Amino acid sequence: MSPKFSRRTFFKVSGAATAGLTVAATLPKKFLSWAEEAGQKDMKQIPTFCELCFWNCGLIAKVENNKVVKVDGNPLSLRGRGRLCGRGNAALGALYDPDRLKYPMINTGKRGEPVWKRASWDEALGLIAEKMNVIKQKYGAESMALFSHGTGGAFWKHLLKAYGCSNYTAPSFAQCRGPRDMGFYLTYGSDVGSPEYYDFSKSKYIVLLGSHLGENAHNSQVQDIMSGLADGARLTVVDPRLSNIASKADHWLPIKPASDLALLLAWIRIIIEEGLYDKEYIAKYASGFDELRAAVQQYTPEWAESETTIASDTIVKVAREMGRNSPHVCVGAGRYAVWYGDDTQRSRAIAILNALLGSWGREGGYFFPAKGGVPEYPGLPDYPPHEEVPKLDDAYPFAALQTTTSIKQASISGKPHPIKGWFIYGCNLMKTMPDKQETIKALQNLDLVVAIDVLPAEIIAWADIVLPECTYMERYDNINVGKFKDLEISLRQPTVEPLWESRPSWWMTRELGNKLGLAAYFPWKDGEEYLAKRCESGGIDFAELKKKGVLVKTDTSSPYITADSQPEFGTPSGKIELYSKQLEEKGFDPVPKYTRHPQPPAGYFRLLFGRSSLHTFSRTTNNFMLTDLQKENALWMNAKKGKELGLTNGEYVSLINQDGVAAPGRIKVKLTQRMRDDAVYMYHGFGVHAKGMTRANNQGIADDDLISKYVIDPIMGGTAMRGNFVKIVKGA
Amino acid sequence: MQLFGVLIPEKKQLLATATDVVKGRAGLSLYASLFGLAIGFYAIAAIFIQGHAHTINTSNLVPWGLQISTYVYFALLSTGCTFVNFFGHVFFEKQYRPFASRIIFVGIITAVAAFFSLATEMGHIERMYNFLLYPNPKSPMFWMAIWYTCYLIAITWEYINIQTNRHSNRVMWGAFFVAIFTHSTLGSLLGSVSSRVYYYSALMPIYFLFIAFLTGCSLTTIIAAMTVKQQKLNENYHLHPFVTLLKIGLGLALLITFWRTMIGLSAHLEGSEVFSLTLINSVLFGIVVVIIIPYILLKIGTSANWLIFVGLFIMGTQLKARNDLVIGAFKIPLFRVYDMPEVVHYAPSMYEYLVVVASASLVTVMYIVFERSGVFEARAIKEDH
Amino acid sequence: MEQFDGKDILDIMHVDLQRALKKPRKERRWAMAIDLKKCIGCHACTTGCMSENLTPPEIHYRPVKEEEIGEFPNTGMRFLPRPCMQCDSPTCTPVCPVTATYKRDDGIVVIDYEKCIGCRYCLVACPYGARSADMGHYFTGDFHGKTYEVENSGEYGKSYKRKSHWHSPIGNARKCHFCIHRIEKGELTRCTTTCLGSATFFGDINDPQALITRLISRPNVFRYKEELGTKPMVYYIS
Ligand SMILES: Nc1nc2c(c(=O)[nH]1)N[C@H]1C(S)=C(S)[C@@H](COP(=O)(O)OP(=O)(O)OC[C@H]3O[C@@H](n4cnc5c(=O)[nH]c(N)nc54)[C@H](O)[C@@H]3O)O[C@H]1N2
Ligand SMILES: Nc1nc2c(c(=O)[nH]1)N[C@H]1C(S)=C(S)[C@@H](COP(=O)(O)OP(=O)(O)OC[C@H]3O[C@@H](n4cnc5c(=O)[nH]c(N)nc54)[C@H](O)[C@@H]3O)O[C@H]1N2
Ligand code: SF4
Ligand code: SF4
Ligand code: SF4
Ligand code: SF4
Ligand code: SF4
Ligand SMILES: [Mo]
Repeated sequence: MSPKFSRRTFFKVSGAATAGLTVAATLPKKFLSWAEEAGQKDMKQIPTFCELCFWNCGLIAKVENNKVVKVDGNPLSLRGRGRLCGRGNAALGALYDPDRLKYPMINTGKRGEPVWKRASWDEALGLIAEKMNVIKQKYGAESMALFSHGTGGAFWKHLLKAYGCSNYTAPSFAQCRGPRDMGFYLTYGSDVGSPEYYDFSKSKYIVLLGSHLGENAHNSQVQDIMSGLADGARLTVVDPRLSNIASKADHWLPIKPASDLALLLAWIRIIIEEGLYDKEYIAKYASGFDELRAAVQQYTPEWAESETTIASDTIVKVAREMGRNSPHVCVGAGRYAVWYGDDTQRSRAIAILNALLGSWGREGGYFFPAKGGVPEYPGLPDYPPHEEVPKLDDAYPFAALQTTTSIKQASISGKPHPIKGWFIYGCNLMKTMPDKQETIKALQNLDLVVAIDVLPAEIIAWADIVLPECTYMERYDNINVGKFKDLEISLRQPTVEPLWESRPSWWMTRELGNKLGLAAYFPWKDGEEYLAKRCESGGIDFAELKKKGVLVKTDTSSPYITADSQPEFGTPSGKIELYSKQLEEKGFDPVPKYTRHPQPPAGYFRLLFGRSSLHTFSRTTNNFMLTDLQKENALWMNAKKGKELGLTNGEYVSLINQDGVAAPGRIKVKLTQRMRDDAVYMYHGFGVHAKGMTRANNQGIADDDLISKYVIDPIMGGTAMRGNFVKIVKGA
Repeated sequence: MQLFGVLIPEKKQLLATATDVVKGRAGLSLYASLFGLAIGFYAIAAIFIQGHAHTINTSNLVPWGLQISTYVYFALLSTGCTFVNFFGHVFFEKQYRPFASRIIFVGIITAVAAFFSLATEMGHIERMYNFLLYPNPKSPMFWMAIWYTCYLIAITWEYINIQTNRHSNRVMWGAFFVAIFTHSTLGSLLGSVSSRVYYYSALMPIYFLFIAFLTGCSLTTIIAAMTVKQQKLNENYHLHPFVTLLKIGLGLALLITFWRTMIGLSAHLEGSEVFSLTLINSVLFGIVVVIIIPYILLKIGTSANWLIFVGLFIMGTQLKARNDLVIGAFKIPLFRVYDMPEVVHYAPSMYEYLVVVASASLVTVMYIVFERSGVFEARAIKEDH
Repeated sequence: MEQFDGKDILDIMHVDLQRALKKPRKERRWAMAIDLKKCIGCHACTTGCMSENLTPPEIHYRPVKEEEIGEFPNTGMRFLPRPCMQCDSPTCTPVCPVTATYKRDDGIVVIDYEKCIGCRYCLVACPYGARSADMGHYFTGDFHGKTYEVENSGEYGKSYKRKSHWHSPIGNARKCHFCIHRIEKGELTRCTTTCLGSATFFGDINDPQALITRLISRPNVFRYKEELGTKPMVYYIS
C-alpha cells in the first residue's frame, strides 16, 4: 500500500480535524444550537467491491442499524482509487430495490409465459439436480452450458466442471471484447487485459476509436485519461458522434460509421511511408514489416477520405502527430468491439499501428501488467475428465472462449452435439444476444433453464427455475485480482445480511453440488472460510484483507521495456506479427484488408448504440437512484436532419428496422449537434420488457429489439451488431 | 361591548340555524357551502395526515403552486374589502352604509381563509412560532406576517366600530393604510425576488394593490347586490358606487397589467422568456378576459343580478390569473438538467383544488350564518346595560 | 491519478484541509473550484452526493448540466456541475422569515432543519436552483421497514431520520452544504473525492498556500451568474 493513501483518513479520523471544532463561534448564541459543531458520527465501515459493472472498484459501505446508509470509494483500490463512478455510487439503489428477486421460483407455466410458484431452496435446487442428472444420463454432461457475467460466475463454472461439463461462455466475449482480444492476441500473443493496460496517464498522444470514455465510465481508466490530458497529452477521437471524451479532444474525426479500418490502414501507410515508425523497435521485436508495407500501399489518404469522409490532410496531420510522439502514444483498442464483422481485423490494425509506434510496453502506450494471482482452494479433487465431443466453435478457429452464438446454435440444431440445459448467471440474454427470435428458439428447445439473478429481468421469464442471488453488497464472492502496474487483490464481503431469501453463489453451488453428489468439490463451511483458505495458501493475510478490502502487491517486474526487462511475445514466431501466418493458414487475410460495409438505404439511419454514464446496460435500468436521474433513453439525431424530417426535440417516435421489425415502445427524439446525419444513436439497456422491473419496464426503446441482423466475425465468432438500419415513424 | 348579536350571532340564532340545517330548511347555498367546507376539511386533514408527498403536486421545479395562489387571492380579496370600505365611507357615505358591516366582516373572514391555504402549504406549520423566536427583518415574508397580524387587528377593530355604531375615521384610515402596507409587502415578497425575472419588479407591490382593489370590488359588489335584493333597496342608488369602483378597478388593473407585461417582454434576462411564452395567455386571458370583457359586461347592465354575475366572473377569472402569476415564475427551470422539461407544466392535485374549496366555503358559511342571524342588521346599540 | 506539482491533488487538498481546520473557524473561507476542462460529464459527483446525503427522489444537490456549443461538425460540449454556490452574498438567506437558513462564519450557507418552516421562499429566491424541498418522497415506497431511507445520513453532523412527514428534513428546504459533516472531520467533500475527472477542488481560500487559492487566482476563472452580485464561492475554471 502506498503510504499517501492512508493520509486520507477514510478509516480513521485524524486528531487534527477535531481541533477546529472547539473554537468558539462569533454568531449569537441562538445560532449555536445547530450546524455549528458538526462532524458526522462514526458509522461502521465495511470494505467490499462494486459489481454495478465489471471494473469492480473497491468501495466502503457505511452501515448503521444493519442498513447500509451510504457508500464511499476505497482509496486502496487501484480500480477506483477512492472514487466511484456515477453508477457505483448508486449501490443502495441496487441493494434496496423492492423489485428484487426474493425467493426461489419454479415456472409452472410455459417458457416466456411463466406462472410462478414460490419454492423453497431445497425444492428448487432438488429439481435442478434431478433434471441435471437426467440430462447427463440422456445426453452426457457436455450437454449443459453456463452463460455468465460477473464475479460469482466462478462458482458456477466450478460446479459445471465438477459435473463434467466444459461449456461456459460469456456475452462479454462474443458480444463484446472478443475481437479486440483476438486481434491483439494474434499480433502480440497476449491481449490488452481487463482492466486494460492503457498507460493513458503517461501518454503524450492518445487516439480513440469509439471508446466513449466518460460515458463508458471505467473508473480508473477515465481518471487516467483525464489526468493524461491535464498533463498535456493530445487527443484524437474518431467517432461519428461527439462523445464526452471527443469534446475534450484536439481533433474530433466524425467518421462515417463502419469505415474505421480505412482510416487505420491509411494511418499505417503514412506512418510507414513517412518513416514515422519506431524503426529500432520494429527491427528488434516485429516480423512481417515488408509484407505489411506492401499490403497497405493502396490505402492512400485520399482514398481514405473518400471512404471515411475525414479530410485527407486531417488524416495526415494526425498520423504525423502520432509519429512525432512515438512511442508515448496509445491508440486505444476500445472494449466493445463487435461492430461490423471484420472486427478482429480492425483490432489487428490497431495493434499493428501501436506496434509501428513502438507503444507496446512503453511509457504512455501499453504497460506490462503485474503478474500473480491467488491460488485455488487447496486440496480439491481433480475435475472429472470431459467427454470427447466435437468442439462447438470449430467454425471460428480463433474463438478463445466458447461463443454464446455456438451454444445457441447447438441448442437449436443439436449440432455438433446437443445442448439441453442452460445456467444463466448474471446475463440478461434477451437483451444481450442479437436476434431475439433465434434466442427464443434455442430456449424453447431446452430441457432445463436456470437463471441466477438479482432482478426479474427479461431472461427470468424464460427460466424454469429462478434462483435469487443476493446483491454484491450482501455476499462473499470470488477473490478479485486486478492486474495493473501493481497487483491488486480485493475481497467482496457482506456488508449486511441478505434480504429476503436471497443467497450467495458460493452457497447455492455448494448446496446444489451436494444434491448432485459432488460434495467433495465443495468442502468449505462458508464463503468466508473458502476465501480465507485460498488467501492462506497464497500467503495473503486474510484478516488484513477483510479490514482493508484491498491489498496491493507491488510488482517487481517492469511495466515498460528496459534494457534488463525484455518483452516476450506469445505468438508462434515469438515476435510481434505484423503479418499473421496464423491467419493466413486458416485462410484469413494476414494483413487486414478493407472491405466496404453496406450503408443505410435512403430514409434509413444506421443504428448506433453505446453507454450512458449513469447506467450499466439493463443491469441498472431499474436502480432507483439512477432512474431518478435518467429513466429512459433518447434517440440522438443530427439536429439539422431532424428538423428536415419535421421532428422536434423531446417528441416521441417509434422505430422500424430494415427487416420490418418494429421496436415495441417509443423513444424521445434528442436533436443534437453531436451526431452525423447518417446515423442515430441510443443508450443500450433501456426498453426493458419485464413487468417486475417496475421502474425500467417500457421506458424508451431497446437497441436489441432492432438488431435482427448480425454479422459473425469469421475469425473468432463475434456477433457484430451495428449493421442495422432504422426508419423513424412519427407520432408514437 | 356587546358580543352576541352584534359582533357575532346570538346563541339562539346560531341554534336556530343549526336546527334548520338538521331539519333541511337551511337553504341550498348553506348546504352547498357546508358541503364544501366538509370536503375542504377532509382535504386539509388528508394533507396533514398523509403529508405533502402524497397530496400536493408542487415540487422543486414549482415550489409554489395553487395553495400560495389561493393564499394570495384571498389576501387580495380581503384587502379589496378594506379598500372598498374605505372609499365607500369616504366618497359614498350614504349609499355605502347598508353594506359596511357585511363588507368588513367578509374582509376579516377572507383574511382568515387565506391562512387555510397557507397552512397546508408549509412544510412545518407547527413551527410558525419561529416567526417570533427567530425573526428575520430582512425577509419580506417576515414583514408580511407582521403586517398581516396588524391588518387583522385593524380590520377587526374597524368591524367592531361599525357594528357598535362608533365608526371612527381614524381607525378607518388606519385600517386603510395598514392594508396598503400589508398587501404591498405581499407584493414585495414576490417583487423583490431578483432571481425570478417574472416576479422581480418594483411594479409588483403596486400591482398587488391594484389587483386587490379590483378583486375586492368584485366581491363587495356581489355582497352589495345580494343585500340590495334581499332588503329591497334602491338598486340604482345603492349599487352605483360599486359600479364606479369596479370600473376604476378595471382601469387600474389594465394599466398595471399592461405595463408589467410590456416591461417584462423587453427584458433580456434568464427566465424572461416566460413573458413571451405566456404572451398570448397574458393578452387573451390577462387583459381581454379578465379586464375588457368585465368592462363590457358592466356597460351592458347594472341590475343587481347582472352585477352578481359580473362580480362572480371577475372573481373566477382572478383566481386563475393569480395562479398564472404565481407559477409563471417557474415555467422556465433555472437550471435545466436530466429529464427536466424545457417548459414546466404544473397541474394542481385534487387536494390542492379542495383547499381552494375549503377557503371559499369558509367564507360563504360564515357569511351565510352571520347573515341569517341578523348580525349585519343596522341596530341601535344601547351601551348602558 | 491527477498530479499537481507531482503530487496527488487529493493528498494536497487533504493536507490543506487539515491546516485550515487548525485555524479558528471564522478565519476559514471554504470554496470549491471546478475545472470544466477536466469535467467529463460522468455524473459521479451527482450520485456520490445522493449517496452521501441520502437525498430522496428528485433532490440532487449537485446535478451536472450538459450544454452543446456550436454546430455540427464544429460542436463542443460544456459539462457544468452545480453544487450550492455558498454565495458570500446569498439571495436565499435574507428571504427566510425565520432565519432558518443563514451563512456561517466560515461562509457555508446552512439550513437549520429544526427551525425551517418549509415555506420554500428560499427555493424561489436562489438564482441557481440550488435548493430543493423535501416533500417526503421515498424511493422505496412502502417498503420502509427494510430500507435505509429512514436512517440518518449524518447531514450537518446531526441525526435526522426521515421517519414521517413530521420529521425533518422532510418538510424542509435542502441543499448542498459543502459536506460540513465531512470537512469538520477532516474529510474532503464527497463530490471532490469521487470526481473521476479530478475536476473538483475544495479548500480554504483564506489560506494563500492552499491549492484552491492558487487555482482561483488565474484569469481563466469565472463564477456562475456572477453578474447577480451573489459572490459565489464556487469558481469555475474554463
Ligand atoms: N457507464 C457505463 N460504462 C460502461 C458500461 C456500461 O454499461 N455503462 N459497459 C462497459 C462495457 S462491458 C463495455 S464493453 C464498454 C463499451 O464501451 P466502449 O468500448 O467505449 O464502446 P464503443 O462501442 O467503442 O463506444 C461507443 C461509441 O462508439 C461510437 N461508434 C459507433 N459506431 C462507430 C464507428 O463505426 N466508428 C467509430 N469510430 N465509432 C463508432 C459511438 O458513437 C459511441 O460513441 O463500456 C464499459 N463501460
Ligand atoms: N444490443 C446490444 N447488445 C449488447 C451490447 C450492446 O451495447 N447492445 N453490449 C454487449 C456487451 S459490451 C456486453 S459486456 C454484454 C453484457 O451483457 P450481459 O452479460 O447480459 O450483462 P448484463 O446486461 O450486465 O446482465 C445483467 C443481468 O445480470 C443481473 N445481475 C446484476 N447483478 C447481479 C448479481 O450480482 N448476481 C447475479 N446473479 N445477477 C446479477 C441483472 O439483473 C441482469 O439480469 O452485452 C452485449 N450485448
Ligand atoms: S466503474 Fe463504476 S460501476 Fe464499475 S465497478 Fe467501478 S464504481 Fe462500480
Ligand atoms: S447558490 Fe442559492 S442556495 Fe446556495 S448560497 Fe447561493 S443563493 Fe443560497
Ligand atoms: S423553506 Fe425553510 S429555510 Fe427556506 S425560507 Fe422557508 S423557512 Fe427559511
Ligand atoms: S459538497 Fe457535499 S453536499 Fe455539496 S454537492 Fe458536494 S457532495 Fe453534495
Ligand atoms: S464527477 Fe467530476 S468529472 Fe464527473 S461529472 Fe462530476 S465534476 Fe465532472
Ligand atoms: Mo462489454
